[in-house]
Amino acid sequence: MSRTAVIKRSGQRATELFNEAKLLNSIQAACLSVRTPIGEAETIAKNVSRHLSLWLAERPEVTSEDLRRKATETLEIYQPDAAYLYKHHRLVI
Amino acid sequence: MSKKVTFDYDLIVIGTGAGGSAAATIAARAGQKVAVVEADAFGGDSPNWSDVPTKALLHAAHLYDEARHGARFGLRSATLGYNYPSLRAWKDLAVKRTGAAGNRRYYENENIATYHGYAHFITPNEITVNRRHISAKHFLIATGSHWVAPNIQGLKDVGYLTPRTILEALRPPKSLYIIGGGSVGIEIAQLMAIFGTKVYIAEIASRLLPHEDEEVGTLMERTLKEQKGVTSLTQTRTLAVVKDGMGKRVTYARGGTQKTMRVDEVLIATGRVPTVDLGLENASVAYTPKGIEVNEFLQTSARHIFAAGDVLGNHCHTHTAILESRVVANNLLHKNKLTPNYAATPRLTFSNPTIASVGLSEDDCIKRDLPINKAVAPLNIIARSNTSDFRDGFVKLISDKKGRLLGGTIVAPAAAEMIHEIALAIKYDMTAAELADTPHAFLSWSEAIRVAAAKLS
Repeated sequence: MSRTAVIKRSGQRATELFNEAKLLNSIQAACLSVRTPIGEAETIAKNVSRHLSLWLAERPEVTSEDLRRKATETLEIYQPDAAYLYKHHRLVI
Repeated sequence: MSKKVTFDYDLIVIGTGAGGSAAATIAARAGQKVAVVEADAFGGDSPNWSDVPTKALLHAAHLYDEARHGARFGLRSATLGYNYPSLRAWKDLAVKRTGAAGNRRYYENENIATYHGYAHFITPNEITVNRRHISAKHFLIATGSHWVAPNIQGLKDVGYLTPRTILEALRPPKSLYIIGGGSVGIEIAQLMAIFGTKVYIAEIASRLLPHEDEEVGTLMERTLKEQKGVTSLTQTRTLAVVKDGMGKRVTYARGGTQKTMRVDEVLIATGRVPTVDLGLENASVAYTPKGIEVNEFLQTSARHIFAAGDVLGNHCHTHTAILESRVVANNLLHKNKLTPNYAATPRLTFSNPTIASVGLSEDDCIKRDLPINKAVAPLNIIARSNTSDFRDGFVKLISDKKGRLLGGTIVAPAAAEMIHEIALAIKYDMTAAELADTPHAFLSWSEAIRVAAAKLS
C-alpha cells in the first residue's frame, strides 16, 4: 500500500493517506454503471490501481484531483464510457 | 480591508539545471528570496549525466583514436591501450570539477534555500515537496526532459540502455544496437566504436542526422563506416526485441523485409520528452506532452509561472536553456521585458569531425520557399587540411539574394569553435562579403569560412 498523502478537494477536509480499496471500489462502480460485467470491472479496477500505484510511488503528496485525473487517463484505455462517467460523476449525479 | 497575501518565497525554481540555476542565482543576487527544488542530482542533467560526462569520455576517446592512427606522422602507437575503469574515473573527475554537478552548497552560499524531492503543484502559488508545503509569488519551471523509449515490442521487458546509463557501464558492450541516428546517437556510436564495440545505428529517416543538411548525414555515415566500422541502418524500423541468452535479438524492417540480429545491448536515443508531470493542472498551467506552452516572455498560461529550458519542448541545448533562464530572470525583475532570440543558437554534435550548424539549414529554406544562395568550401582546399592530414569535412554558408547570411553548417575538427563566427554574423545581419573581407589567419580551420563566404559574395 502506497503511503502517499492525498490533499482533499478544496483543502477543506483533512489530508488522508491514499486508500487503494477506495480507488478500486470507485473504478469498479463506474464500470458497473456502464453495464460492464462484474469480473471485467474487477480486472479493470485492478489494472487502473496498479498503474496509479506506480505513479504514486515517487510522489509523497498529491491532490484528490490528481488522483481522479490519472485514474481517468488510465481508465480511458480499458473502458472509455466508464472513464467519462468517472471524470464527470459530480456533474452527472 | 483585504488581507495581504504573504508567500514563503519571492521565487521558487523547480529544477536546478541550466534552465533554472541562472535565474535562481540572478534573482537571489538581486535581493529576492529564492528557493530551488531538485528531484534528481543538483545541477541537472548536463553536468551530471549528459554533456559533461559524454564530452569527457569523447575527449579521451578521440585522443586514443588519433594516437592509434599516428603512424602516418611517424608515431609509434602499436602498444597503445586503454583501461576503461580509469576512463570512467576521468569522466567522474571532469563531472566533479564542473562545480555544478551535485552541488547543493553552491545555492546555499548564494543564499538560496534548497529542497530535494519531487515538486508537485497543489495550488497556483503552492507546491509540495516531501509533504512540505511551500508557497511563492513567482515560479520558474525548469524540470528539463528525460529519455523515453519508443513503443517497441518487448523492449521494456528485456531492458535497454540510454545515453545516460551507458556512461555508467562497467565496460563497453561487444555489440550495440542504437535506435535513433540523431546527434546523441552519433556521439555514443563513435564513442563506443572507438573502444571496440561493433555498433549498429537504426534510423527511421533516409539518412543519419535527419535534422541537418543532407551532405552532413551522408558524410557522417561514410566516415563512421570507413573509419569506425559502424553499420548505419537508415530507413529502418525496429519492430521487436527479445532476450537471447546473455544478449538481445532485435527484429527490424528495412527495404520491405524483416531481419533479425543478435547484439549485447540495445540503446535508445530516439529523443527526449519534457518532464511535465508535476501537477500543472492544479496551477492552471496549459501544456501538451510536447511541452509547456509559453508566451514570448516565457510566461505560462498562469502569468506568475514561467518556464525555461527543455521543458518547453523547443530545443534541447544547455546554452538555449541558459539563455531562456536569463530572460526569465530579467522579466521577473524588470518592467522592460525581453524575449529570447534563437536566431544565432548553435547546434553541435561532438563527433570527429565535429558537426556545428547555426541559423537556417538548406531544408529549412526550402520548406519556407526562401530564395537563397549557397556555397560549400571543402576542407581539403585549405592549407590546414594538408598539415593535419584531414580531408573530410566542409563549410557551407547560406545567404539570401542580397548576400545577408541566413545559416551555416561546419563539419570540421574545430567546428564547435568555428561556428560562433557565423553565429555572430547571423545575429548582426552581416553579409557574406563582410565575412569574406575579415582577415582569417593562415593555417587555421577558419580559412574555410572565408573561402565559402568569398564564393557567396
